[in-house]
Amino acid sequence: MISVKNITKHFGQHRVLNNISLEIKPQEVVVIIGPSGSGKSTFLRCLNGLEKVSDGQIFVNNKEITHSKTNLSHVRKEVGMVFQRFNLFHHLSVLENITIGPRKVLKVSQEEAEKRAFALLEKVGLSEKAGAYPDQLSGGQQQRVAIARALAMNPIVMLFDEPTSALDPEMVGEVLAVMKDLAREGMTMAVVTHEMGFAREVGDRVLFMDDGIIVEENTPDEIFNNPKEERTKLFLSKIL
Amino acid sequence: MNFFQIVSAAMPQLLQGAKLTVWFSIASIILATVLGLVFALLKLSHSKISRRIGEVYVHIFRGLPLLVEIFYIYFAIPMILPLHKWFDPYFTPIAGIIALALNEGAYITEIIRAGILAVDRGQSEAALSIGMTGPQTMRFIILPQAFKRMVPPLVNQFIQTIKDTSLLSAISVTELTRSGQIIISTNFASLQIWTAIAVIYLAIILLLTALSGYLERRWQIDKR
Ligand SMILES: Nc1ncnc2c1ncn2[C@@H]1O[C@H](COP(=O)(O)OP(=O)(O)OP(=O)(O)O)[C@@H](O)[C@H]1O
Ligand SMILES: [Mg+2]
Repeated sequence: MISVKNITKHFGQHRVLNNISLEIKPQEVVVIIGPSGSGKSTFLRCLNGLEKVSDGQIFVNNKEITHSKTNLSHVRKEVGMVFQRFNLFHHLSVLENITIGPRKVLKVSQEEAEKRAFALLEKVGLSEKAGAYPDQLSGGQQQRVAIARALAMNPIVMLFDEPTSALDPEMVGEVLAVMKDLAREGMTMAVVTHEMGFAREVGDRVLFMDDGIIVEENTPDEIFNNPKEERTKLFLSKIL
Repeated sequence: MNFFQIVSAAMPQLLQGAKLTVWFSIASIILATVLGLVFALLKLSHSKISRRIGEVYVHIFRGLPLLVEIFYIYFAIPMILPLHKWFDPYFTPIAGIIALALNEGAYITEIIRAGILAVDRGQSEAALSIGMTGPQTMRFIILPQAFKRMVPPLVNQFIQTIKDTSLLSAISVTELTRSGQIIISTNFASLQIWTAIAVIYLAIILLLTALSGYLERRWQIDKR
């Protein structure tokens, strides 16, 4: 589904990703953990071309997105992304936030787009908020709308960048619940998160990143109970 | 004749001038806004050449006195390009509107650019992430949000434009100021006529302020 081959990313002199390779199979849920500044967000953002790699290749569904001729908006239609700070469109209602992508990008009719939007709102438990504006919603509600907005494009893979770390603790559960449902339905997902419960419950693999490399990868149980690398142990001892 | 007699005798001519002032203002505001949008997008573009073009435009037209720009377009350019013949008999109003629009457009470029830059980067990233193209992102996501922030400084600039139309009197456009000068040259009633002119300018600007206040309040309610 996603195939990453030896990618490197520099910001100026600073090397943020250092020769990373990774395969994500269909329906797989990959959880990425690691200390602040280790390059997790940058890595995720390379997967939908929001960040350009300095070197290496990335294939999404066998299309090379790192090729200079690739039309990135075509790729991004199929790759959903959920941000730490939600990034809902402030000037649009919840319904419009969800329908604008299908309408403007996929050229779906308004009626069709709204029908699907209502179904998605139902799925994330926010049917009654269709007419609200983002600023009128709690963080947890905003994040669930953001997930619905991404799903409205019918993506083949979803990227989550610390989707719960800007939330008050009591709202984390509602967002994770939606994500767990998605995982169980077979969505392919790459999730940067430090929610160990989530990783154990639906994660197929956990990657530990540090300093721009994947230091260790394994099943959740192995990595949390039996980490091999010193750096992994040190990191886990701080967050568990 | 007392004050009111003098003013009311001059009123038809003054209102004729005021009408021109309003038309010149509207035309140059529209043109200046279009120029401002185009050059703001150029200044924000990825291409270095486009950015340079935008910068040069702003430097030149914000850097020169408006009166010099008006004279340059009206007197200097026809020396090498016979625009006055091509556009006869409309050259004067066209030159006036273009000079005003180029000047105000330079300020509006900066207003629009600042408005666009003030929109959080997360907004465009989210738009791109659902597959929108750059132009779609600008049109459906960035500009609508930037626009709300731009309204107060834009209204300021529009008021400036209205006032600046008075400089067109220097190339014999009979807008409000010039109408007044013509009247005074025959009746010598400086105090009365300039007072009337001042009141008319203030009325026009008050009207614009009221209109923009009304629009702002409506958008606040509709779109939060
Ligand atoms: N646009 C940018 N320009 C320059 N440096 C950047 C940029 N984005 C990220 N960096 C740097 O790249 C490194 C990795 O950042 P990144 O955001 O990927 O880390 P992260 O693992 O997601 O951290 P966090 O847990 O804090 O979100 C950091 O040192 C950061 O300062
Ligand atoms: Mg991050």
